[in-house]
This record gives sequence, structure tokens and C-alpha cells, in this order.
Amino acid sequence: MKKNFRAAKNFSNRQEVENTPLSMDSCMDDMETADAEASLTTPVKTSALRKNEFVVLQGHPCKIIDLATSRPGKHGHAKVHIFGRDVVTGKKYEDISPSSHVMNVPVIKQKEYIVVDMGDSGFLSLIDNSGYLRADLRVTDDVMKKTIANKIDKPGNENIIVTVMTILGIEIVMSVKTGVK
Amino acid sequence: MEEQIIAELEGASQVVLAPPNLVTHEQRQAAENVILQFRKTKMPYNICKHILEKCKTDYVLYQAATTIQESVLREWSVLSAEDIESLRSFLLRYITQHISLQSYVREQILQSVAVILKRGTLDVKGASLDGLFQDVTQLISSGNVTMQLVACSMLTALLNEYSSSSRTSNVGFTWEFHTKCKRAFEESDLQKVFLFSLQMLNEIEKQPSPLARETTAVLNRFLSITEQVLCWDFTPRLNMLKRNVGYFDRDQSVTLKPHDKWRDCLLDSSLTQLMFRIHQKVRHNSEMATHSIQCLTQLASLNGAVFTDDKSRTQYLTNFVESFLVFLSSVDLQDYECLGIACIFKNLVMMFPSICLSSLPSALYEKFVDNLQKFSCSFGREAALEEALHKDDTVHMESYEKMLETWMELLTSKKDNIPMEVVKKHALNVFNSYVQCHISPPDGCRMQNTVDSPDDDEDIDETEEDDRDKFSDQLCSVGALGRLTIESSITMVTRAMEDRITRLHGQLQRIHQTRVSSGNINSSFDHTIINILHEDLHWLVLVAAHILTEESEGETPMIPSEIMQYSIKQSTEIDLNTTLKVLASPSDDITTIPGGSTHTDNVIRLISSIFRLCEVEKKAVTAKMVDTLSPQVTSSVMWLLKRWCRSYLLPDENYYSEVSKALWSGFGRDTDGAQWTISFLLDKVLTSLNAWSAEDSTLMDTLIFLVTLMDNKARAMFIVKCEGLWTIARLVAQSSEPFCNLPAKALKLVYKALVLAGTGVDTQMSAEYWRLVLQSLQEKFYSVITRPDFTKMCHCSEIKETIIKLLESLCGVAKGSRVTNIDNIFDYLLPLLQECVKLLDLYHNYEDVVPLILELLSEVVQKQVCFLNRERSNKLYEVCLSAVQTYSKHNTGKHGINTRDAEEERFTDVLLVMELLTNLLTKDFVDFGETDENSSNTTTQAVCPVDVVFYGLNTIIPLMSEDLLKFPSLCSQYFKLITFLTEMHPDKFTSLPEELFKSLMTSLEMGLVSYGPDISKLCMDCVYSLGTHVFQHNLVGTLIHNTLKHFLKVLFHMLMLESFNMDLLDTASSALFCLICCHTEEYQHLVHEILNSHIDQAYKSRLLEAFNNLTPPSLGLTVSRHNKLIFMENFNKFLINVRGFLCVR
Repeated sequence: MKKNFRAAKNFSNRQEVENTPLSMDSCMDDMETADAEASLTTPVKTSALRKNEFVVLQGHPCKIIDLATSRPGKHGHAKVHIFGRDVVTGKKYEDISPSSHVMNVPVIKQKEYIVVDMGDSGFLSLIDNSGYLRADLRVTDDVMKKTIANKIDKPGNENIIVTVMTILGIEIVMSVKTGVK
Repeated sequence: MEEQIIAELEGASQVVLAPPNLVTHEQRQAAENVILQFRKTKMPYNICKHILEKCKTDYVLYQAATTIQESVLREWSVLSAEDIESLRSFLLRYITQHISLQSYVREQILQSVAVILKRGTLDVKGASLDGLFQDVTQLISSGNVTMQLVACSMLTALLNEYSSSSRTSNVGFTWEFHTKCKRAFEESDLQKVFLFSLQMLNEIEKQPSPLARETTAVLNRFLSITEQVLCWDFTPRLNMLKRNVGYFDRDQSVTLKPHDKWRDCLLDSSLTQLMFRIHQKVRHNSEMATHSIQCLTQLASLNGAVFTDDKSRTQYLTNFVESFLVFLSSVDLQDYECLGIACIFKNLVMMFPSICLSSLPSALYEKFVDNLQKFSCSFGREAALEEALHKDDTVHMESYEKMLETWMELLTSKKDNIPMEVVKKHALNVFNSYVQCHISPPDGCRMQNTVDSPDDDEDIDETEEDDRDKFSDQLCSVGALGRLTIESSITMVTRAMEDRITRLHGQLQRIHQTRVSSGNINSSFDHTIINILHEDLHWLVLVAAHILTEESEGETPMIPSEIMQYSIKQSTEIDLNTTLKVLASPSDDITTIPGGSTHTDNVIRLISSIFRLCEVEKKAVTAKMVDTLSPQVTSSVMWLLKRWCRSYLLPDENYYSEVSKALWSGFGRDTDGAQWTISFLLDKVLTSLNAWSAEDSTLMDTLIFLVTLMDNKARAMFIVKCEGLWTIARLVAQSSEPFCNLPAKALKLVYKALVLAGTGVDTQMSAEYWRLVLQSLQEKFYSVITRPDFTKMCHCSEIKETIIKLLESLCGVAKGSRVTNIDNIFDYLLPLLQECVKLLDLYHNYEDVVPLILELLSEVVQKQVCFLNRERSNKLYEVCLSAVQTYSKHNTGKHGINTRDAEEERFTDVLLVMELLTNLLTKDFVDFGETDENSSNTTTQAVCPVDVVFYGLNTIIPLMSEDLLKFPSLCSQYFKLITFLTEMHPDKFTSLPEELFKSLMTSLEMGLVSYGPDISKLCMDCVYSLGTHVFQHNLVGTLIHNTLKHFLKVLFHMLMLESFNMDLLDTASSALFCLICCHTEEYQHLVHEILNSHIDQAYKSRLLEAFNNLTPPSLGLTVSRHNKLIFMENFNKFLINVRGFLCVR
């Protein structure tokens, strides 16, 4: 992951992609232009799922933490036991699916914003690439909140940039760094 | 004074035995010291006697006994013969007078007696064992059971000490001393012990059953003693194997091979009878039965000098077999007897030559084989039950395997010299019973609840071994039995197969109709019947595969001669056209073909039933009923076809003296039959890939079959003429179904198969074929990496997946290249490899991409570098150098940490880099490349492979920590690489950076001692190469020269004093010799050191003489082949001479 951030410095386009299991078109879509409804998930064969990628387990967007294949009896067909962790709540979910069946994989979008300020409750003031300002995004994770707060307190020439991931329509602040914009 | 010592010891023993929470560590240590000090007391005999008489603490008694034992050995030279004898008799008397002793104390005292006796074996001071035997006789004749048991313990202790095995106590005698005592003991006393126990067995046997409880206890002990004698590993009179010199832990199971002095007692026919009667008597007690049956098993293996000629062997065998058969007919076996019975059968057949078996009275011989058959079948049935019920105890399975091994012995080495008609007759029953146990009723008897019963509904782990591997030995034997009885066996298997396929077809049709009428094509159904059929078919396919084909590792696969002969024999009765009609009609039931079931060649009929199974599966796939099929059955079928096609499809007539017309018309070269068969099989492969893209192992079996189909040039030439292959190539080129759905690792096999097939394309079609296969792949590759946003998007998982698939495909291309097209394939791959190096940079952080690129490079180097000309190989070296540089850039200083819990797979990249580096060196060994003198490029500075390797080593060596070397594959690859390098380029090691050189040497030293004989050998080779280089270039005073001094010490100690594998002797002597040449002074120093460590003058002078003979003045201490060979010879003698007393236990 670190490498991606390093590479990102050179990009004029501030979108950065990582760990996106899905169509590359979706990676390039701009939030504003994409049809949010249609591209929340895509179907993927269970046998093609990989560890550390994403999948929807019982309605929750999860990162796959483990996969195990087994067969029900000698002449049965392979099935996959999927263990995942909800990317929003951190709760664990699991599911079993025949390996030839299809599962929903969430479409991931990522976008970088420059942080202007953060309120006490964790609401961020952000500017995006095109200069559009928004203040509706809240940091829920305490560690993340603290990191951002520290960076805001420390004056410097560089901007504070957060990476926001959109998954199943939910926006989460994934990481924060400083960089020149 | 004495009371005070006792009190002190009692106090100390209390502390030592106290639980950890009651005493401190220091207290415990102090107490242990008190005891250890006591054990070192000079002349402690009186005080020990006093302790034994007076003290009540068991632990102190135990220590007193130990002290006596140690002191006697220590002070042997100052003790008189009477002192020793009185001590011995005191100890034995003491035992008889204190019958309530704790058993560990009693055993320790008896052990002391035995050790004292053994110490005296070769000494004038030692008493003969006669005194002891007298005492033992008295004890036994006393009629007191406790005394008798003490006598037994005494004899057991004696056997343990004299056996010089792992049971012997560790008292610091030399190996030579142990062996001499053992040999002396074997001369007479061992037989005395044996006769003693036989006498007891005889007496007890005469007593009426049931035996009293006490008598049973005594009987049990004597049986165990008898067993120990019969399992004795007799010292060979001559030719002691040099590998055994200095070894204490020997293989436990040995055959009974006593000296000729045992003739009278062992060949006495009453002995065998007695042992069978005894077994009859005790067989309901599992512990005693184990002893008695072990005695019988050993008697069944009797061989060696006791027999004067084959006549006496035959007589013994006749006698044994008679008693054995009488016993078998009179009882129902207990479970715990089965393995022993099987071992008796096996030993009799293995240990007695054919001449003895064939000289048995014919009725007896027939009855013997009949029993062999009867018990094989019965163990087989029980084994199948065990398997079905998932029992942990697999005694029947083990017994069954022993019985099958016995049959294999009859079928292979014995077959030409024994009456085989009888064997054949009974072999069929064994074969039939095996098949019956694995298929369902009515013709089979497999337990119905084995599949899908509630018990069996558990998930099967991915890692569970496939039946074909788990039972491969069994299946192999059963296949051989089937071929022996081919006329009946093939019909049985074919009938069962045809029946199951017809029933499966019917079931599938019913399910289909239900689904069509209900309108739900996915509606569920009852799996019970269909799973029974799947299981039957799975086993029938495995058995059929083993009948039709033999293992042919490393040989040209052939149609087994039994099959060929059988098919030829039928030629007069069959109709060739009908046979071909049956073969070509897989969709029809054979009964619907006129004359099909009567005039078809039976071999072809069996094969066509497999085809029919393929056809039924294909139809189900087409009807979207994959869910009703078993991936396991398809896997087994594909595996059968893989084995089958190697020998049957397009066979080479020149390999056979006679050929079957039917088989040749069906599958021979340039026949319509073969044409049809290949199309059929290719179509089946496509269907299977479509159906099973989510079943990894089935997919892989299918593709391995496809690769095997192409991996022979004659077949490839034929197959490329088939439209089916072109269809596959086109689908692959267009990434159409099923190939777009396959996982990446499957594509490797797809491309391997296609490139292999390419060698068979004629020049006319060649361009078209390669355009389809290779060019399309190249285009796909470039279309991804030349995307303008590639560097930005490459981490996106979809692009990454595409890259992984492309890399696997390229690897398949490399794997499929052959000598004939190596230049073309190389020219094709080279620019792609250059791109791959860039990918290595981009994806350096991805554990799933990096290994693929390294594997691809390594594969290309391994397959091709030896055949490339100078110009091409230089280009390859350049690519490898830049790859290694890229890898180093990202990995220097990595790893090392956190290796403790990590799994081996995490270090695949390190392993692959080492593999790549090792492969790079191969051109130095073998070079078939054309020399291209006229090439214009000779002026340009070429990359030297060894520089690439050393560049890589700079990265690798710091990574190879002690933890990483614990992984066997990494360890062996690493040392293989270093060995290669030291052999080819020792000069490079003198100029290595000091840090690097030091860590290299540290790893080498660890390799010498820590990772087993194979690695030791590699390291000794390294030392040899380096030593030779240092000597020849006179590098005295350099770092490498000084380092070797240390290695001399390490190796010297290893060879002289530690137990090392004597198989490495030749390598070790070479290494040692060149080290001696480099460091003669240090060597002399070491020799003096070891000489001075010996106090015993006799040993000292022997050792001195041995060292003088090792390097006599006539031997020049210069590294040359001649001197090396002389030294090797000397060293061999030296070790046999001195290791015996240098190795101590």
C-alpha cells in the first residue's frame, strides 16, 4: 500500500486505486458521473475470490480474511467457506457457497480530498480535485481522528490528504497522509 | 558416619523429588549435587551395601545401585576378581531377599549386575555367566513365582545389555567393546538363555488349561525372553558392514539369521510345534499373543548358516507350513493376530527360495496357497469395513497390504520357478474379492452407508489424499493379480462397469425428465442412488486403470504383455468390424449393437466402456446437469486416460514382437480408429473444462491428460491433424469459453499442451498454428502493458489478475518448448521477458506476482540455456541480470525478521531466485549450443553468468538465516547452489566482500552438521572444492585459507568422534584430505590432541599406528587425484579400525 501513496505524488489526477477487484472502468469513473445504483456490486464466481479482496457477506461489505475449500462427501461439488471482516464496523462474517456459484463483490471507488479542518465530532471539511467543498463526511475511527487532528495541529507547507473509499454507497476515510498538492 | 550419609541422602532425595512449588531452584540444585558427589565416592561398596540393607527410601536405594555400577566400571582395574564376584552375588541375593522393592529399584540393581557381568566378558577378572545361570536355575526351580519373575528380570536385563542396541544402557564402552561382548555372548550364553526359556515353555505348556494366574505371569515373561532371543540381530562372523561400525541404533526388525551352532536347536521339528501349541494356549490374551506370534514370525524368517542345503530348508519349511496350516484351520483369528499371521505368510514366501516352495508336497503347497487366498480375502473385507467406518485402528488394512506384498512376490520373483497354475486359480479370488469390496450389491458387497450416510456427510477436507494415491500400492498389486487372471478379471470389471454406466444413464434421464416436467432445471434430487453409482464407477475406473497399464516411471510406457497376448489370443473369435463399431458407438448400450456382447475384443470393450462413461457425462453437461455428476469420477477417468494414452494411443510397433490386430485397428498409427479416438478425447477435454472450471483438482487432472496426450512427438504429429486441436487453439486465442473462465494456473498447462503439440505441425501449417497460439498471447500481453495508464492501474486487481494469467501462460510456453523449436520459442519469449523484468519492478510487493516472473525466468533458463548459441544465451544472461538486480533492489535487507512462525510458501521467491541462479550455471556443465564464430557480436562485452549469480548471492546470502535454512526446500536449494559455485568458480570466493564471505562460511558450517546427510555431503563437496583451489593456488595466509583451518577441526571431530553417516565416507575423505594438505600443522596438532585424550595405552598405540598408516610418508600431501584415491583407501581402513573404540556409548 505504501508504494501506492508514494507513486501518487506524481499523479496529477488525485484518484488512486488500490485493491479494487472489479472492472477497471469503475476505477476511472468519477463519483459524479457514475451510476451509483447500477455499479454497487458485480457478480464474481466464488472460485475466483481471493484473500484480501472484497465481497458482500450477508449484506455487509467485507474484506476477505480467509478462504477454505471443502467438499460435502466424496462425490460432492467443491464449496468455499468465506471469512470476512466488515470494512465499516470491523465485525466478522462468514458464508458458504458452492465454488461454481456467483457472489456479489462490491465496487470500490477511492478518492482523495484535501483536509481543510475537522470538527470535534469528527466531521471533516474537505476540498476535492475540482475545488468542490463538502463537510458531510465524518471520521468515526478514533485512531484515525487523532491522526488527522495531530496533522492539523502541526503546521507545515504540505496539505493533509485523506483517501476516501466508497463501498456499497458508504464512504469511509481509509488513510491520511501529507503531500504537496 | 554411615547413618549420617544416609540421612543426608534421604534429605537430598526428598528435595529432588519435591514438586516445583515447594523448593527453590537453588535448593534443588544443591540436593542434586549431594547425590552426584555421592556417586563419585571412591570405593563406595560398603557404604552402598549398608544403604541397601538399612535405608527405606526407594530413591536412595536406586542411587546406591547406580553408584555401585558406575564405581565398578570406574575402579575395575583396582578391584580383584573376588571383590567383583562378591558384589554381583550380593546384589542378586539382595533382590531375592527384598521382594517388595519398587520395580524401578529392582530393575536398576539387575541392570548393574548385567553391566558388571558384561564388563568382565573379555577380562580374566570377569566371572563366566555360569555362576549367574546357576543362581537363576535355583530361583526358577524354587517354585516361588516371585523368585521366578526375578529370574526372568535378570535374564531380560542380561539380554538388554548384551544386545548392544538402543536398549543397552549408556555406560561409556566403545562400540568395539560392545560388539566383542555381544559376539562372545552369542557364542554360547545366548543359546543357554534360549534353551532355558524353551524348557520353561515346555513345562508350562504341559500344564492343563486354564493356567493359574501366577503361571500366566511367568509364561508371559518367558515368552518375551524367547521373543527377544528370536529377534536377536546376530553379529555376522565375517564382513562386518563398514556402515555399521560405530552405530548403536540399528533397524529393529531383522530376520532370524543365527550361526550354525543353532542348527540342532532351531531345526528340531518339535520347536515349531511347541511354539504353535504355546500360541494356541495364550492367543486369547492379547499381550501374550503378541509375543508368541512374534516368535512364530521370526521362526518363519529363519535363514543363513543354520541350513546346510536346500533340502534342510525344504524340510524346515514343510514342517513349519504343516503346523501353520493346522493352526489356521483350528481357530477363528482374533483381530490382534491378523498382522502376525500376514507376516508369517510373507516371511515364508520371501525368505525361502522358489526351489523350496516348489518342492513342498503338492497337496501341502496347494493348501498353503489356498489359505493365503482365504486370509487375503478375509483381511481385505475387514479392511474395507475399517475404511468405511473410518476406524483409527487399521490392523486389517496393514495385514491386507502384507498379504498383497506376498502375492506380488509370488507373481514377480518367484513366478518362473513355482507351479503357477495353483497361484493363478486363487489369485482370481483375491482379485474378485477386492473389486467386490469396493462396489455395491448385488455383485459387490460395499457397505451401503459409506456414501452420504449421516455419518459420512461430513465435509471432506481439500487436503484429503485421493484414493488413487492413498491406495496406490494396493491397486498396483490388484492390477497385477488382474493381469495374471486377465481372461476372467477383465470380463468381470467390464460387466460391472457397463451395468453401472447404464444405470447412471437411466438415473440421469429420470432426473432430467423430472426437471423438464417441473420446469425447474435446478430442482434438487435424491443423491443416494446416484452417489452409490459414482462411488462404484470411481473404483472400477481405478481398478481398470491398473489392469490396463503398469507404472512406467523412467521407462517407455508399454502395453503390458499379458494384455497384448490376451487380445491376440481372442483374434480368432472376435469380429474386427463389430469391435470397431462398439468402440465408435459410445452413445449406445453395447447390447444394442449386433454381435456387440459376443464378438468384441474384450480389451477394447473395457476401453469403450470408459468412453461410454465419458459420453454419458458429456450428455449430462450438455443438458446442464453438471450438478448430478461427480467431479471425483471425472478426475479418476481423466487420470485413467492419462495412463492409458501413453501406451495404447498410437503405439510404436517396433517395441513389440507381436501386436494385436484389434488394438492396432482401434488405436494404431494412421488408422481411422485412432483419428476417431483422438477427436473424441479432445472433445471430452473441452466438455470437461466447461463443466468443471470451479473444481480445481478435476480441472488439473483434465489438463494433465491433455498435456500427456501431446508430450510425445509421434502423437503430436497425429493430433495436430485433428480439427479438435485447432478448435482448442482458436478458443484459447480468442479467450472464449471455457478458457476465459479457467484459473491462471490452469492456463499454464493449456499453453504447455498447445506448444508441445506445435512440434508436430508440418511446415505448411506451422505459421498459422503459431500465429494462433503464440502471436495472440503476445498481442494480449502488449495490449495490457502498453495501456497508457498501465503503471497507474497495474495494482488494480483485475489488471493484476490478467497479468498473472499472462505470466502463467508464458510459463506454459516455456515448459512446452522442445529442443527442435527452442530458438524460435526463445526469440519469441525474449522481448516478453524483458517486459517481465519491468513488471518485477512494478509488482515487487505482490507475493502472487513476483514468484511467477521468477519461475518463468528460471524455467526458460533451465529448459533452454544449454541449447542456445552464444549470442542468444548472452541476451538471456542480460535479462536475468536485470531481473536479479531488480529483485535485489527491493529485497536487500528484507526478511530475516519474523521467520519464526512463517510458512515455507512465504519464501517461494527466495527459493525461485536460488533456482534461477543454479540453473544459470548449468551451461558451464553442459553446452549443446552452436558455436557461432561468425557472429558479429563477439566484440561486445558479454554478461558472464557467474557474475549474475554472484550478484544474486549478495542478496540471497544475508537472507539465509538459520531460521530460513530450517525449511528443507530452501536449505537444499541453497547448498546446491553454493556447491555448484564452489565447484565451477572457486576463484570467485577469494574476492568476496568479507562480510558476505563470513556469512557464507557460517552457513556452510551449519550445513555440515545440522541438516542431515544430503546437505552434509553438499557442504563437504564445497569444502573440497575450496580447499583444492586454495592449495593449488597457494593462497596461504588469505582469509579463505584461515577459514579452512576451522573447517579442518570441525570435519575432523565429526569424522572421528561423532556418529555420522558412513555412506558419506568417500566425499568426507576427499574433503578431509585437501584440508590436511592445506593445514598439515593444524592436522598434526589435532592428532596429538586426540592421542593425548586416550589414557589406555593399548588404544593409544593402536590409534597412533592407525594415524601413521593413514598418512604414511609415502603419501604426498598434495591434492592430486592419485593421492586422493590412496588417502580414501587408507581412510576407509582407518575408520573401520578406530571408530570402533572412538565411538562410545
